[in-house]
Amino acid sequence: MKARSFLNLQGERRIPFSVFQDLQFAQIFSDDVVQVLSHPCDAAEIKARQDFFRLLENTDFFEKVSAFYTVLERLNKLEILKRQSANTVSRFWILKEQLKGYLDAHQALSLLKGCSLTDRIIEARSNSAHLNLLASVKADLAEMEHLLSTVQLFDLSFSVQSWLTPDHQSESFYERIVASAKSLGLKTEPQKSDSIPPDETLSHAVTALFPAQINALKTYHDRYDSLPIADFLNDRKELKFFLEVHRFTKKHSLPHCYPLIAPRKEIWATDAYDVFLISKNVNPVIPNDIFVTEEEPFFFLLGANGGGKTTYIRTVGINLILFLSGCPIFAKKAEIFPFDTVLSHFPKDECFTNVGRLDEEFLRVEEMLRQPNAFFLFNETFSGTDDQRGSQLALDVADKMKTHKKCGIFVTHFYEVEKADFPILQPLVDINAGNTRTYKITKKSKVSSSYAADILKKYRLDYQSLVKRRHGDAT
Amino acid sequence: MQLSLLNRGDEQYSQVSPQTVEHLSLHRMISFICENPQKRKAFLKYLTRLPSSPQDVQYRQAVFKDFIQFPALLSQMSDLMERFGKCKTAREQYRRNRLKNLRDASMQIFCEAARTDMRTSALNLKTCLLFVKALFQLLEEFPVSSTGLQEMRTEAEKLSTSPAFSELISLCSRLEFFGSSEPIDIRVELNELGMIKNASLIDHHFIRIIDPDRKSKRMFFKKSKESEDAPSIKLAVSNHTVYNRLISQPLYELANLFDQLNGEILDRFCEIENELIFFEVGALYYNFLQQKRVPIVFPTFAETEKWQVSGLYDLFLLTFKKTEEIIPHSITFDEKGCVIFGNNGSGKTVFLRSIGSMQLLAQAGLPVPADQCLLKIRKNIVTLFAASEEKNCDDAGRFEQEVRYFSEKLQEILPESLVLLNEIFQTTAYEEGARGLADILTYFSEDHISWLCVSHLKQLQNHLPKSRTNYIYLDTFHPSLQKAEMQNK
Repeated sequence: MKARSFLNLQGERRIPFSVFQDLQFAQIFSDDVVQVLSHPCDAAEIKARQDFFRLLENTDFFEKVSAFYTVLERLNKLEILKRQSANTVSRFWILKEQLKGYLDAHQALSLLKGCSLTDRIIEARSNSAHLNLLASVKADLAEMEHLLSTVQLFDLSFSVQSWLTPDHQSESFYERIVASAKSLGLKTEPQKSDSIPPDETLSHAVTALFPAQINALKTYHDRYDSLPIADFLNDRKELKFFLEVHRFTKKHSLPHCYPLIAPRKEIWATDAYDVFLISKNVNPVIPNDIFVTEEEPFFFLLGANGGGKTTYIRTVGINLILFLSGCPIFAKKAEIFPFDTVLSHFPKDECFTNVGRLDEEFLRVEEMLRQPNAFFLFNETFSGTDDQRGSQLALDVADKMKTHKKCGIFVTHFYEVEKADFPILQPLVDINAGNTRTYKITKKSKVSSSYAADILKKYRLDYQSLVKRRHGDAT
Repeated sequence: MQLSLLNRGDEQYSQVSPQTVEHLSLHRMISFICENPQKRKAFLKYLTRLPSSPQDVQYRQAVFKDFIQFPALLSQMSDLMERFGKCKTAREQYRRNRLKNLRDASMQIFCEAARTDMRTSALNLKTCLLFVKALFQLLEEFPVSSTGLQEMRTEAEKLSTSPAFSELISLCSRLEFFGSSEPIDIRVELNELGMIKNASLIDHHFIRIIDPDRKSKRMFFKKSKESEDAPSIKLAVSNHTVYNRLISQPLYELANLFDQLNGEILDRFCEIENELIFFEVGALYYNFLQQKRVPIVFPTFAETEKWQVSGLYDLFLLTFKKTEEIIPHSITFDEKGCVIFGNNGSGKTVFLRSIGSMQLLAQAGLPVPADQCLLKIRKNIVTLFAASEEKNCDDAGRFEQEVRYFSEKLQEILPESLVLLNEIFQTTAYEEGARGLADILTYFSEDHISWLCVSHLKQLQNHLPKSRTNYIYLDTFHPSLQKAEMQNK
């Protein structure tokens, strides 16, 4: 199966759906794409897909892929129609179109040569059985088209009795009026009729009117009823993934790259963007660097409210998941290890379970940490308890991460963790410009105070504003 | 392409504000000569949309001259066009009702509703086609010389004398009387998916029914072919929804086609009905001038900044004074701006009105009551009259109202426009008013905007640049106005 398909979705690796929820993927990509992204790849598959994405950036190749995709869309539509079509006549026409689509799909696929991913598919579908079928379809299609053209036109006469008869080169009133109007220099719009599916009665009547042609068509129908188009129908789903991601990358003209595959557990990226903010057309989006190494595999991220901590963790998570599916990532340059999975722990809405919120968080973290070769994203974990207990639990997690050399980032407001010996990331504030937030995250050893007071003042909820409000002169 | 007797093609227009028409008392003059309020309204509307090139004005003048020469043509054409207007009304009514009728029709009578729809639409088109023929026959009776009427005759001739025209009328007649007892014959074409792509109504003579039981034989197109034909298949229609759609769709499409063609012909000629009102009222105006025994002249147009007018009568005075009681004005000057000073009741406003009316009517393609008239085509004609004559009633002071009004009107004033100012900015200290007004008038001149300004602000003489020769100052004693002013007194 691997060799016959654009995507290798057969591996064991999975990224839980909750991670996509936490990172707000639903607002960036369709469910189909998210479904593919939930199957992270190994290094070889990542490389093969990266090659394909790179080729898509070539206009010529992109057009060929789009053409192939259009044919596949049509094949899919025909398959649905075939299942729905109730009458004999329609089935012949649909079959003819399917045969045409089958030949077109082979032709369009053969034009995609030159990339490891497509080459393997073309090769797998070029065995002698396939080639023989193609030759037979080609020969029969011409004859089918001829037969169908002879049953395409007929007349219906409705009077006391209704009749179906062959057409004898009739000229319709519509055609005669249009011809006269044209001679007079009057413009007419083309006839716009809605397609009406023939009912069973009409279908039977057509069958009876053209018995010889219909018998011949039946032979072809029996021969090709089970045309092997399953591979192509699968290709359509898989190509959709590539095309959607490619279009997203093209639409948002920010720097993107195809990361190198790191041999050690690390993430190294310069000027990485939050794809979520890009998809929301936020302008400007401030890029950040990511440096997670074997020496420093775990960071606490502390600092000012609204300084970009969640954005940063999302930047890491989304770009990492894109990389693991062989997609381009939004960064200037990157080298990333192909982790088995990505796991996240974001605050959840309190729900009525038989355990408390803190216990629920604790249990979830414990479960996560059992996973080897994962990258971990913690966001405000243990915020369901007091400072002291929360800090202690966060430090316990950090100790486990360090002991087992696990990689991850932990966003928290527990400043106590700063005292322990873990690397700290922090939003950078420009003190020279009135403590303006820069949305840049930097590695720091010392953490400044929270800027919540600024926000309170902005909304006239600081002490002086509240006193003024009390005296009735608040604005 | 829409035919027009007023416009040559896609020419540019000078948009004149309806207020200008009122300031010049043209609405009162037209009320005096035309009793029909709808026609007055339509005529005045045309005065607000003037051609902006001498060739375009001459095009109208020529049509007007034809109608003056052949009054019967104007009256018969107006009658015909009124009837044509009813075709338009019939079509509008048909379009309003058809969807409702079809929607309301139950499945049993759906085909019948579609058949009626097609018949109505065929009748509408036929009526419209016959009108074109009648128009050609009418125009053929008169040896018109104007390009506008000649082109209309050519267009009507081209349409109504073609064999395709007769064929179209014959097809309309055939389907107009397509009775409910007639068989419905449809040619069906399947698309690439085996769906019915086209269902088109065909004439019954194309149908060859060969009964497989050889019991009955219907009409045959070519009898010799009978033996070669495959036997026809009897249809036991069970799914009425499909067949109702199959039958009604071609009828409905034919109705659409008829309606579309009807619309196209109506569009070509529809504006003529309204345009003829312009010429009808114009002819009344011409007759009025003749009755008043004043000289009538079709103006000529200069490319450069020039006014050369002699023996010009004020139109509004003509409506209530005897001709011999009115002293005509003459004015000749090349300058861009002109300030008119004078005592109260000396006729300053009448002078301004005469010039403005003359410019507007001349540019509309109509004759003017003068011995001689040479002028330049203007991009726009704008009147700015003192605030006391307006109906402003907000809290702002009068001067502020004037300034606000002025600022609103400023966007209408383009280079090559003519601006007529009547005693404005006199609601403040004269010195200040004059200074402000002088700045504006200077800006006008610099921007190639011609202006005539009636004022009591003598201080204007101090602020308008005397050294520049393109400004002149006219008062009661100005040589070019002296005669007129003295005579008016």
